[in-house]
Amino acid sequence: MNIQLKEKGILFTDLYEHFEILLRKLPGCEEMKGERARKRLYPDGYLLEEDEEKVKEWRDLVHTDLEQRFQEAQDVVARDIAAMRTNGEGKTELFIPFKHVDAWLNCLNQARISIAAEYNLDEDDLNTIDPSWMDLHRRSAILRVHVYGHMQEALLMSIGEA
Amino acid sequence: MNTKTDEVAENQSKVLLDRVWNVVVHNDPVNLMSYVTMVFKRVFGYSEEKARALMLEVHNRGRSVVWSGEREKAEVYVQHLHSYLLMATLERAENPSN
Repeated sequence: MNIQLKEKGILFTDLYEHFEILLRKLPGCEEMKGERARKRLYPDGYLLEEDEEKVKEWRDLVHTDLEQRFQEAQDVVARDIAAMRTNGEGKTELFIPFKHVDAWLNCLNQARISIAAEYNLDEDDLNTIDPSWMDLHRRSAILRVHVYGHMQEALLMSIGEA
Repeated sequence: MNTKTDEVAENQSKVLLDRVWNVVVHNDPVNLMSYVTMVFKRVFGYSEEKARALMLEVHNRGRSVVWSGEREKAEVYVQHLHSYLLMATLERAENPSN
């Protein structure tokens, strides 16, 4: 895979087949609907539930707003993915306009956080060098968290934040 | 021995402290260090140096108080941090005399 900075955005070329499959699964990925993931995506603002009314107010107002923001980011990413094309050499290309980078960072983070929450992945799991002892689903989850993370890094570098 | 003036000053500072809320960011294994630094710069307008120092404190100590002040403003900051998917909470600032 190659990454090129263009005038109005970032062009990812020669996408690996597996990477393309993971990208297509990104917006609204299954894990985002899971109970553990939703608890992490929509946390409470008050750690100590000393003010029940405040906690309820937070859940009613802030969570609704967050849900809308997350959906908007997913929609932007879904449109960019739908516009992916195959070049003359049969390789897939993805173009991300600079104005869409924030939506991508957000969507990638939604997915990474949801996958980690649903599979209960901790720092040791994510840093493990040899995950061969784990079952296939768990290994696949770790791989996805890392692949989406590499893409986040590439996007952060492209906007001078890494 | 406290004088009347001392007691009044102490009470006033307690009242003021009750109005101070901390925005606390908690460590999580997923968010990238560079991403967290970017978020601190964007949300609070911190310099690269300060944002990075706070990010490292979150990473090394598990949490960091990244801002303190009025409750309403703290709520807005926490909401903003949640929109970037950072683990953030509001906590009443502790009275140092307790």
